[in-house]
Amino acid sequence: MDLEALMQRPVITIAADTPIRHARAVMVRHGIRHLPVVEAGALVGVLTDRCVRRVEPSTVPGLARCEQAALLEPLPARQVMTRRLVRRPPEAPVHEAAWLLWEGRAESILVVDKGDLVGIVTTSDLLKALIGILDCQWPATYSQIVVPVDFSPATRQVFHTALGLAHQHHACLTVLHVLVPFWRLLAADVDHVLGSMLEQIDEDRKSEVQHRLATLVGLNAAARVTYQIVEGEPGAEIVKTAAHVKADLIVMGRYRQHGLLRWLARSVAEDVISCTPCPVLIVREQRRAHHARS
Amino acid sequence: MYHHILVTLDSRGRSEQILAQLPPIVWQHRSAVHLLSVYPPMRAVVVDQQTIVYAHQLESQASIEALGYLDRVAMQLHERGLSVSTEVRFGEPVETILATAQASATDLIIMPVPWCRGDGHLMMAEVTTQVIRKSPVPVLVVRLEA
Repeated sequence: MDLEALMQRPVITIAADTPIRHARAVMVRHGIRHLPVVEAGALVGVLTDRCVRRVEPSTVPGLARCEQAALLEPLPARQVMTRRLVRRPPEAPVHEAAWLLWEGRAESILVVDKGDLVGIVTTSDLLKALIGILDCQWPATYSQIVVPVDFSPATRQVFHTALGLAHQHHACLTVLHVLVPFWRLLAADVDHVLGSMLEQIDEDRKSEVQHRLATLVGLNAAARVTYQIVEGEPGAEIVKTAAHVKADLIVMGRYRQHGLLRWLARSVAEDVISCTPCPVLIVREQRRAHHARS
Repeated sequence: MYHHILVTLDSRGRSEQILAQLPPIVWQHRSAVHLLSVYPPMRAVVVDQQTIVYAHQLESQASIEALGYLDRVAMQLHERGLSVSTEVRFGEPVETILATAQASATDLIIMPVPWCRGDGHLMMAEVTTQVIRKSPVPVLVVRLEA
């Protein structure tokens, strides 16, 4: 980007003998803080809002407004203006101007083309350009969406909601199933033999879940959809996986807890919301429609 | 996908953070956004059996302040091309939010969760929990950093 792209034009200038009070009125009228000063057709300085404030009498002693004006009246711009002029051509890069302003080596950049003043760049113009750049990046889109599924009746709707969002935002979708170990569902101590049997059951369950996830994901192979199976407490594992893939949205239903937590009437979603920093979209199973059909 | 979105905001200022979270869903669908602030019903101030301030006066004052805040937030969204409306209501928060959602044919409720404990876990407000449990439409919960 060059200075021509963001400079203010046309440039409002004043003569060197313009009284400060009039110059100030020009600044207020046009909403600007920098006035290039011209004398005999040549640039001789810049009158800034800061320069004017430096010579203004303090309001603390309680001078009448007309007295303050009278004090400023005889002062011409040439006595107050800064003579430090920073000139750059229109094709000069913006980042150079930004450095000059940031380091305090200039209060404004005068854009000069073949000796003629064609524009002026101030900190406000750079901020305006920054807003434009940030606006281009805003609104952000989701790039990683995690959708936990438990193959309950709500799963299909939750999955399709997440898939729809992933399509619209061109996001990666991670379909997650948290397998609660069978012994935990029993909530009881088990001996070695029973433990082996339970492990075998868990293996079978895992294969079954893998098959169902593969089917679910396989139908949507066009989208960037992957699946994961993890073991543990649903809430904690969902939060952990979301953090691992740097998810910026979790889409889930109000899945029920297993074991004791079920009796505490607290859903997995509530657990997840209370532990994850990323937004959580809770999709409700449309029971009315389901009941109506059944 | 989501055409009418209800955003619940309080007037304590931090809810503005939600604006940064809004866009991905709101902007994708160019949704109509309804900003809602709900306050519990005000009670008249009575001293020595004499009413100093009536409830409707307190509600009127609170409503003006809240609408001022909502309008500032609305302006930011409006400047970016969204259709935004604002409303301040008094009543039981959960019921009022759900009733407003139903009345305005909302298909998504966005709720900021404004409070955060030191250990990084969130203490969800009862209102949020109840809205999640009772809402017939999806609820997007957005965490606001303390």
